[in-house]
Amino acid sequence: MLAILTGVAARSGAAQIDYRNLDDERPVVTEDAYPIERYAFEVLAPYRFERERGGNRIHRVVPEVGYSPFDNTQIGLEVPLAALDESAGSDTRWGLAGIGVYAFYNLNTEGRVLPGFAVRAEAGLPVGSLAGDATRFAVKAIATRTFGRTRLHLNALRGFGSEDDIGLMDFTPRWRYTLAADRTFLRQSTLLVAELLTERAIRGAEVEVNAALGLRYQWRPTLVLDAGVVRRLRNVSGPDYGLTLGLSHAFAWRALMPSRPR
Amino acid sequence: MRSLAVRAILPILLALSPALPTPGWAQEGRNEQFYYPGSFNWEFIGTYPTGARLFNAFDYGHAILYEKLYTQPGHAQAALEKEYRYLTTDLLIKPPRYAIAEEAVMPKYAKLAWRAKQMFDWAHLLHRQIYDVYSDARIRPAQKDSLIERITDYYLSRKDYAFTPVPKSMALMEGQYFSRTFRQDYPNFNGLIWAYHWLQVGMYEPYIEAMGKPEAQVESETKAGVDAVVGRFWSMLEAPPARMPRIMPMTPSIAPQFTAAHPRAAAIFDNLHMMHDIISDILASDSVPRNKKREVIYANLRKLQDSSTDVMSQDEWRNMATMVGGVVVMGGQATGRVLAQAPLTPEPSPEGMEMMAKGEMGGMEGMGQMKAKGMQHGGKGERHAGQMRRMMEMHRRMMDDPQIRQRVMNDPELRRMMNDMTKMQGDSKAEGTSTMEGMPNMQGAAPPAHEH
Repeated sequence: MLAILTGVAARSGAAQIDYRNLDDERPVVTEDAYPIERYAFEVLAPYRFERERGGNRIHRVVPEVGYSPFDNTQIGLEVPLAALDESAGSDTRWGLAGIGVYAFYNLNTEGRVLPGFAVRAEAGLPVGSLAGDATRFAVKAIATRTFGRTRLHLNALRGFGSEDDIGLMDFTPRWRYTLAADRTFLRQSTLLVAELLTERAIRGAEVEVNAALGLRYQWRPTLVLDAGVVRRLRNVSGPDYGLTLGLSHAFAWRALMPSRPR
Repeated sequence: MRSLAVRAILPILLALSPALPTPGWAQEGRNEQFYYPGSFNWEFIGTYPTGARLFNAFDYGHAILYEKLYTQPGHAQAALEKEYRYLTTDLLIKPPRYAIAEEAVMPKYAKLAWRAKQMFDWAHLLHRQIYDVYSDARIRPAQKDSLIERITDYYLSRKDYAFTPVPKSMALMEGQYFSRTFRQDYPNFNGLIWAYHWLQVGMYEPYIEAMGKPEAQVESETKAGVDAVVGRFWSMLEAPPARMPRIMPMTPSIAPQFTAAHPRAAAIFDNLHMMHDIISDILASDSVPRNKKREVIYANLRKLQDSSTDVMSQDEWRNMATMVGGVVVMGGQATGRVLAQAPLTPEPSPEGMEMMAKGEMGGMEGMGQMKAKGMQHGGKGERHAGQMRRMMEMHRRMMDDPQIRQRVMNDPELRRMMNDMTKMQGDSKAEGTSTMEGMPNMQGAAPPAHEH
C-alpha cells in the first residue's frame, strides 16, 4: 500500500497542510469538523494493533477512500481487514470485518461565535467472516473550535440497529463521546493531538474510557504520516494498549473537475 | 436512550460556543476546493526549494499582519515590529518546508473574513501552480503557456472566489476614505509586503527568459535568474524602507514578459495584491469601525470580482509605472540583467499618486476614462515621454534577439502588443519622437503555431 501511495504521489498532490485534517481514527478516534476539499479523493492506509484486556490481540488494516463531490461534503468507503489472536491459544482468525460507508457534511466554518459543525452518517454492512449478521448505523455530530494554534474537537456518536449479532471487532458502538485537543507546530508541519474517549459498545456492556495521544506529520507535499497510542483508563474494559500507524494521500482526477464557470 | 443521547449531544456541542449567533454574525460555508491536478504540481519546491520556501514565510507574514491589526486595533505597532524582526531575521532565512496553516496564525481574522481568506488562498494556489508549470522541465514552452491558461480557466471557474482577470482601477486602493493608512503607520512592514509582491510576480521572468535560451542552457539560466531575483528581494530589505518598493509592484511593470504571455493571470495577481493592501488599510484604519470591518472588506471583495466597473484599460494598466515615476519606485523590473543590489528607491511622483487616488488612469465610476495626463503635457509629460522612449528602446533591443522575435510571433497577445507599439511608432513619427525604428511589423506575421 505504501508503494502504491507513494507512486500516486509522484503524479498528483494534496494541500501541504493536510496534516491538520484530523480523520476518523487517524490517529485518534476524534475527527475535525472539516471534510477534504471539493473534488479531492483521499486514500488512507492505516494499521492498528490492540491488546485487549484479557489478552486478545487484534490487528486491523482499514483501507479507505473518500471523495468530495460537492462543497463541504465527503463520502467514503472503508474495507476493514482484521486478524484476531485469542488468548486461549487458538489459531489466528482473520478476514473481512464488514464494509463501512459514510457521508460527511460540514455545516459551517468557524465564525466569531459558533464553532465549525459537521454531521456524519455511517453504516456498517455485515460482509465478511469477522463481521456480524446485522447492519449497524450511526450518526455523529462533530464540533471544532480554534484558539490560536490549539483546536478543540468534540465528537458525539449514537449507534442504531441490532446489537444481538454484531461482529467480533470494528462494529459501531451504542454510543461514544470523544473530546480532543490538538496543537499545530507550523514550522515542523506537525500536529500533536490528545484525546479522551468514552463509549458503551452494546446495551449492558461496561463503559470504556480510554486516553490516546497521536501525531500527524506532513512527510511530503502530498503525504501525511500519522501515529498514535491508546490506553484504557478503567480496569473493566478497553485496550491494555494500542498502537496505530497510517499514511494518507489526497489527489484529484482532472476529468471530474470543472473548467468553466459554475 | 435516544432522548438521553439528544440531551447529551446538543449541550456539549453548544458548550464550545459562548453564545448563540445573531443575524449580523451569519455563518459561512467552508467551501474549500482542490487545485488543478497534474504531474507539474510541486515541481517548484522540488527544483528551487530556497525560492519556493520563501513563499511559505510570506504566507505567515500576511497572516500575522492581519491578525495583529485586527486584534490590537490602534496599538499593533510594537507587536508588528516584533513580527517584522522575526520575519526578517529568522523565518525568511529559515522558512518552513511546506505551506503554513494560516488559520492557526490568524484565527480571529479567519473567523472575521473567511471568504477573504479563501479568495487569497485560491489566488495563491494559482501563483504556486504557475511556478510549478515553469519549473517542470518535461513540459515544452508552448505547452507551458497552454497549461497556464488552462489553470487560469480553472481558477476562474470558481466564480465565487476568483478575482476578476481585468485590471481594476488603482483608486480602489488609493482613493477610498481609509486608503494608505497602513503604509503611513507601518512603512517597514508595508515595504516588506510589497517586496513579497515584487518577488511573487518577478519570479516568473527568469523562467520566461531562460525558455528563449538554447536547451542546454535553460536549467543554468533559470537557476541564475531565480537566484538573481531572490537576491534582489533580499537587498530590498537592507536599511528599510530605503530600498523597498514605494508603490505596490504591478505585474506589467515588474514582469512585462509574463504579463504579455498571460495577461489574465497578471491582472488577477495585481487585483489580489491590491486587495491585500485594501484589507490592511481597512484593518488599520480607525475610520472603519470595528463592527463594520467585515462588511467593508466584503464590499471591496465584490468590487475586485466585478469586471464591469472600476476597471482600467490594458494600456493604462501597462503604463502605470510611467505615471508614478518609473518602475524603479515599484522595485524595478525583474526582466533582463537583474542587479542583485536594489537601488535606493525614489519617492513616487506626487502627481501620479494623486491621479491614482482619483482613478484617473482607470474608470472609477463617474470619473470617466481619462488618459494619463502626465504622459501628454508639460514638464511631467516630457519626463514621462523620456521614460517611454527608454521603454521602447528596450523593446527594440529585445526584438533584435531572433528567439524573442520568434516567441512574439508565436504568441497572439505579444503580437497584438507589438502591433500596438508599431502603431504608436507611427503616432510618434508624426510628432517627431519615434524611437521605434527597425521594429518589426507583425501585421503580416505568420499565424502562431499554437493558440491558447
